[in-house]
Amino acid sequence: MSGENTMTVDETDPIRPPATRFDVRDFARTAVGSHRDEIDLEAFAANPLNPETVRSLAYLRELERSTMTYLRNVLVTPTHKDARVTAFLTTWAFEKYWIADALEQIVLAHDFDPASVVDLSRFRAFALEFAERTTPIVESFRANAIGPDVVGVHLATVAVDEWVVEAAYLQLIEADPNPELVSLLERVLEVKKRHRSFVEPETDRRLADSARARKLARRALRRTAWPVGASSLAKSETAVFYESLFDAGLAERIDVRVRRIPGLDDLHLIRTARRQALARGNRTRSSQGTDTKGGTNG
Amino acid sequence: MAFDIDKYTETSTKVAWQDLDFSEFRDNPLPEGTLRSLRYMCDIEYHTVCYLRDMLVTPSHKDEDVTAFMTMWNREEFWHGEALAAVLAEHDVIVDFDELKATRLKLGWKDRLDPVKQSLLGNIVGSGFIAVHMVWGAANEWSAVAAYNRLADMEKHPVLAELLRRIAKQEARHVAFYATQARERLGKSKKAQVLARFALKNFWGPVGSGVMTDDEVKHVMGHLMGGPEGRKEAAKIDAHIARMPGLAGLTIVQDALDARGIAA
Repeated sequence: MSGENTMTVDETDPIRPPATRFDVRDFARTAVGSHRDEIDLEAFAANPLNPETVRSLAYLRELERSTMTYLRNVLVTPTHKDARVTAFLTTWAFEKYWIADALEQIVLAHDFDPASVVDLSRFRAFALEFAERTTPIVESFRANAIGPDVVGVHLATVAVDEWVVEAAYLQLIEADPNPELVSLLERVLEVKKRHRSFVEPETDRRLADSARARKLARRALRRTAWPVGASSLAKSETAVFYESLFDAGLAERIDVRVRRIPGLDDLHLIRTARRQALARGNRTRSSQGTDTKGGTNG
Repeated sequence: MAFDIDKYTETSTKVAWQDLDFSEFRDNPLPEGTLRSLRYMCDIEYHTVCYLRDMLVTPSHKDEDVTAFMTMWNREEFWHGEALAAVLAEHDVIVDFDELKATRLKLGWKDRLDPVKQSLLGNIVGSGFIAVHMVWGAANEWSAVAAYNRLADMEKHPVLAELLRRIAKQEARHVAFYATQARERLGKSKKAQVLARFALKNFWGPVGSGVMTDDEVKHVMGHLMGGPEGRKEAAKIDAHIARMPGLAGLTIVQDALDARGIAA
């Protein structure tokens, strides 16, 4: 389960058609549920995580559990018609629910309030509320006019998001190699590896087959706030997420993978997201009169 | 009757059938009419994700308990589809994802606009709409429990009956969630009661109508809810719904039978 290959960002070309088609039914049959029995929370009492790690885990928990918001926007489009994709997403959401649950247990064991990462200003809460109310409607009209090409865009979004989140887990393992945390995150990475093995070849195939899908994906991915779910989380936390886990090199390594997706060969999604997040973080801190010099080199 | 969402998610599991002797179906196959109803039920279970989407466009998607429930519920229903597909496969009826996709594609424009309408309506009335979603879900899950138990009783096939009771048991937990949520939310808001009454009375249809053809809906309704015994089950579902705050007197299931000319 914890092979060496999970410990590094896989830099081989991730987008390659597999020899055999992903077996969605087998994936569903062997879904990984609760991790609670395998987490020794008492070990954290004796050997607690760094506070920054806990904060990152709280942020990652929110990302993992935002599946219903993702599905909300995806299922109003023709993607919901594709029974194979929805069968995948059903199990994907289930597995991510339990990843989020595991992270929550650890965060709570450190007396950290997981909800603190969603603190929003009243103005932002209002803007978000408005966006949430209108997005599925806009998506529905737009995507239904576009047709099945949108499925490739949705899968590309999941693929890129998986790379970002996976990279974050690997960074955490390196930054805070607490054995209990490492053992959980290795299991989590195995779960996510299967998600990738569905979405990567599907993305590749669907975008390679359709110029329209490539065009749509370029537009949609550039407009996405990475990581997916960040738009509903406190900006300060997104800044911390990038600041503590992503240096410019890592952001670039993910972008290299993005650029291998058909039609996305000149995008700098994560570099841009990181720069924007760090700039916002710095602005927030200077307005609060605290030190603004973080590890920014992007 | 409180619903413990943590306990539910922790014990949520895919329905098991590997321990049942499915070769029994080869020696003792199910009749045509039953296979037709099972096919309907199988499709509906797989299409749960379409219902999920209708519900997610309402403000329900922001409530933590509701999203936790929906994640598990959607998966359990998918597995009911898999279990019923396995029974059908023993009768050489193969249900695959491509075929399900074809069914969904046939839904056409009406289906495309439904979630939009629901979202507009849902967002105008805000969180009161969650109550509607919950009571709607309860009505559907009560129908499912009744349908599975009734088919188990009617068919008396040892293996099928056991499988259907297992599925019904999971559906009963879904009822518990939806009904608890609905009761609480309706109890708190007169506006939600009025809205729920209006929505059920005017828009509710038997589970699967809108996805399956009218002929199939009629067949299943007649098969499972027709005749004096079937009607008794329908009346029981209506009685459950009518006990919800503000919904006294509603008889949506029996009305749906009458509207389709299903003999009592």
